[in-house]
Order: sequence, then structure tokens, then C-alpha cells
Amino acid sequence: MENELSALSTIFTEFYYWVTVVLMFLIHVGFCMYEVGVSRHKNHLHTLMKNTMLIPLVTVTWFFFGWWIYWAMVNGPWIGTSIMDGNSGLQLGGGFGANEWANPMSPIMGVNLGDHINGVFWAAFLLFSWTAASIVSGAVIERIRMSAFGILAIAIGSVFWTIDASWGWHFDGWMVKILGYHDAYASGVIHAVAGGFALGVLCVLGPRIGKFASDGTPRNIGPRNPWLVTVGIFLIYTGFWGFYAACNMPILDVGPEYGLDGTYFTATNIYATPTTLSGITFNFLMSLSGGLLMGYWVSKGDPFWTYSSGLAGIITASAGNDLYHPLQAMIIGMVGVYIAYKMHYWVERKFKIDDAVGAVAVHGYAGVVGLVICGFMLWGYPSSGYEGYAAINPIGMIIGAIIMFGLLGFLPGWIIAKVLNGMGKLRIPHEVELAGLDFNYMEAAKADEDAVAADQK
Amino acid sequence: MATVTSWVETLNAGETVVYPFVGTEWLWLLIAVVFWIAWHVKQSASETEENDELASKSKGPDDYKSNITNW
Repeated sequence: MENELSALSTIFTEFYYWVTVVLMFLIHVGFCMYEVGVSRHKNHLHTLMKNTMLIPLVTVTWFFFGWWIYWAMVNGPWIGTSIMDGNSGLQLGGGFGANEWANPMSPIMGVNLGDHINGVFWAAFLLFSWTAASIVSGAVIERIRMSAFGILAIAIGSVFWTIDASWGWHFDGWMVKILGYHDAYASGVIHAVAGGFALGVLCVLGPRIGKFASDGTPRNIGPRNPWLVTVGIFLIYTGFWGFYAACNMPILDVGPEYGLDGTYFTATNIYATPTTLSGITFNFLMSLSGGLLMGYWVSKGDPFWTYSSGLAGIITASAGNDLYHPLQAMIIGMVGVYIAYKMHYWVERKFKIDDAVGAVAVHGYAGVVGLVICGFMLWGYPSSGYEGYAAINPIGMIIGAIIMFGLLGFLPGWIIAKVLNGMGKLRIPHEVELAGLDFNYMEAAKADEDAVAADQK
Repeated sequence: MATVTSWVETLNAGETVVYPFVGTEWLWLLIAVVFWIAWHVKQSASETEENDELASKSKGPDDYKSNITNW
């Protein structure tokens, strides 16, 4: 660092991303609490372990190859052309943003006095990966084998969401350039893809025993712990602040980037187009509020759906929350929640899909709706400050939604689940599901209790 | 062998990589990947064993209730 100002800017950026990582950790705490709150007593520990162990599994694979994929796949490969060096294959070099940053054997992937950004940036993306895997985790509780979930978590957390981020959530991504795709706070690149992936898995996994009556009528499986659900969702809301901040670059001089006369320091989104942390704070809270209001209304005050709808409101508005007016964000959040809620019950009845926590609706359907609405609301806005990029448009955003939810979400989830199911490795045995995954733990704990009680007599 | 033996010399020389055994990253990566794969194999096998054992008990959906502890 050459002088105090550049040192201050660098250290500020490093600290900024570090704080977002700490905040986003709360998303995972929230997911764990939420899932346990929804699951039945006889499955609590297994549910907790499943979501906890995705942390190390996704983290190490994100180090091995996930980060590499993100920086390597921006051209497809062979779909777009990099603005960095004109390459259309894997982006393995070419300056800032190239894949040489992310090789797990690179000297920048460690303590390096010449670099203050790679580690915190890697970690911020990693926490998104955890979220993607955790979204799937909630949908499949109480009947999936942990070994199968581990593979699925790695697939969505370190491979498929990474590819979509490289394509549509990178300043050089081909979807941004060719389709005019815009997804500032990840309606599609995290939520739609993870929701689609979860739906693909659920189609193969099947419902929990007793979820549907013999005539096909769905039942609500309880009991649930409302306090774990409440605190869990509030922690997810809290962590979502970090998620939003992490999607921004806190300070960038876009003057030389765009060929302006002089300097123009601003916060930007991931595409290096200007926004403000202040502006997105308006939109975060207004879309949360729109979601809560509509969720309460449409579900007739059901606490489970009202809490989830706050999240779905934010998710729907997220694609364009770098530019929307706060009232637009609120109304867009409301529309997304209404459609997601109706879609959840229609799909449940029609296709007998048992989504235990409503993850496909809250993340998948709301994310898709958010992308489509963004295409109309921001129609004509430039998708980038760089020359030669398509403007944001409805067709590009609809195609983007299909790629996110269908091509990189549903399809790989369904295929991998099919393979695992074919090997007999996807679902736990019928007898285990009846007894409860924690039966052995509980039996051992009861035996210990009885033994201690006997000694105390 | 330490990568840094004098901070003055390291910083004056413009060296930035300071972790030990620079150049052996491939070996650490290899060990980590092997362990990662082995973990999956071991976990899957032990899960199958545990499931088979529990399935053989043929417990009913409410039997767990007799195992709820009071302490």
C-alpha cells in the first residue's frame, strides 16, 4: 500500500467484507434453528447435524474448486467473450477477476501481505454457498440420508450456484453481456437456483410418511417449536443485512473504469454499477415489510407463513433493489409473496410435493417472480457501465430465470437425486423414518438417565 | 524451514507470501482431497450400518416417546 489513503481504502474494504461474513454466519444459525423448530422431536438431532455438516463440506470444496469455477466460467465457456482479454474459453488469466486468483495452490489463497481482499471475498461468496445448500436442507428434512444430502449440498453449494454466479453475477459474465441479466441481490443466482434444485430433489425423494392422505389430501405435519422458528427467522433476517452488504463493492472509482472525465467514487453492486448502501437499506426494509403484510393477509395470520413471507418479500425485490424506489420494492415484495404462497399449495396438491419448510416457494418461486418483474421494471437500464452490454430487458430476464431455476437448479437436482436413488442411497429406510432418525440417541440417553437414577436411590 | 526469519529482510525484499513451506501447496491439497473423499466413504458406510441396525428394531412411530428424558 503506497500511502495512507490507499491503505485506508484497502483496509476498509477488507474489514467491510469481513463484517459481512460475520453477519451472514447468523443466516446459518437461523436456518439450523428454523429447521429444528419445524422438525419433529424424534428427528431434531439429525436435522441439526445435517445442516451443520454442510458447513465444512461446502467450505472445503469451495476452497478446492468452487472459487475456481466462479472465476473460470464467465464466458460459459464458449458463449460470451471476456472484456478483459477477448477470450471466450475458460477465463484462466487476463488480469483482475481472472481465475489465477482462485487456484487452491495460488499464493494469494492464504496469508499474503500483498493481498487483503481475496480471503474475505472468498468467504463472502462461501457464505452465499452455505445459504444455497441450507435452502435445500430445509425442504428435505426427516427422510433424506445425510450422505446423500452431503453430496447434494456440495453440488448446489460449490458447483451449480457457482456456475450461475459466474454467468450472471460477475461484471464479465456472459448473461449480463448478452441477455442484459440483472440480479443485484441474488433473487435468481442464489434463491431461484436453490429453490429449483430443491424441487428437483423433492420430485425424486418423495413426501414424508403420512404427509398425504390416501385420497391425496395434504396434511400439516407437526409438532413444531414456534420459538425456534421465530428466533431462527429473525436471525436469518439479521444475517440478510450482511448478505446485502456483501453483494456491494463498498468503494470504487468508476471514473477510469467507464472512461469518465476524472474520478467518481461510489459504492457499486457486483456489476460495478453505482448504488448506495443507504438506498438499498430503504429497499431491504420496505420489501421485508411488504412481504410480511402480504404474508399475514394471504395466510390469514399463519405465523409460519408470515415469517417466511418477510423473507420472500426481500427475495422477490432483490434483483432490482439497487435501483427500485422503496415503495416499488414494497409492492414487488407483496406480489412475490402472493404468487409464491399460491404456487406452494397448488404444487403440493397437484404433484404431491412435500416441501417441509416452504423453501421452494420462498426462495424458488419468489426468486423467479423477482427476476421477471425486474425485467419489466428496469427495462432499458444499462446492465453495465462498460461498452457493448445488452440493456436490461424482460426477455433476457425471463431466459435468465429459466436458466437459474430450471437449467442450473431443477435439472441437476433431479438428475443427482435420481442417481442416488437408483443406488439406494437417497432416502432412509421406511422403518427408520417411522422410528425417527434420533431413536438410537434417545434410547441411549434414556438408558443413561435410568442408570444414574438407579445409582441415586 | 521458516519462510520468514527476519521481518526486516522479508519486508525490504518485498516478499509477501509468509506461510511455512511455500511451494508445497500441492501436497497439502492432495492430503486434504484424500481426507475429504475418505470422509464421505466412511460416513456413508457408518450411516448404512446405523440405519440397518435401527431398522431391525422395527420400532413404531410413537415408541420414541418412551425414551424422552426428564433430566
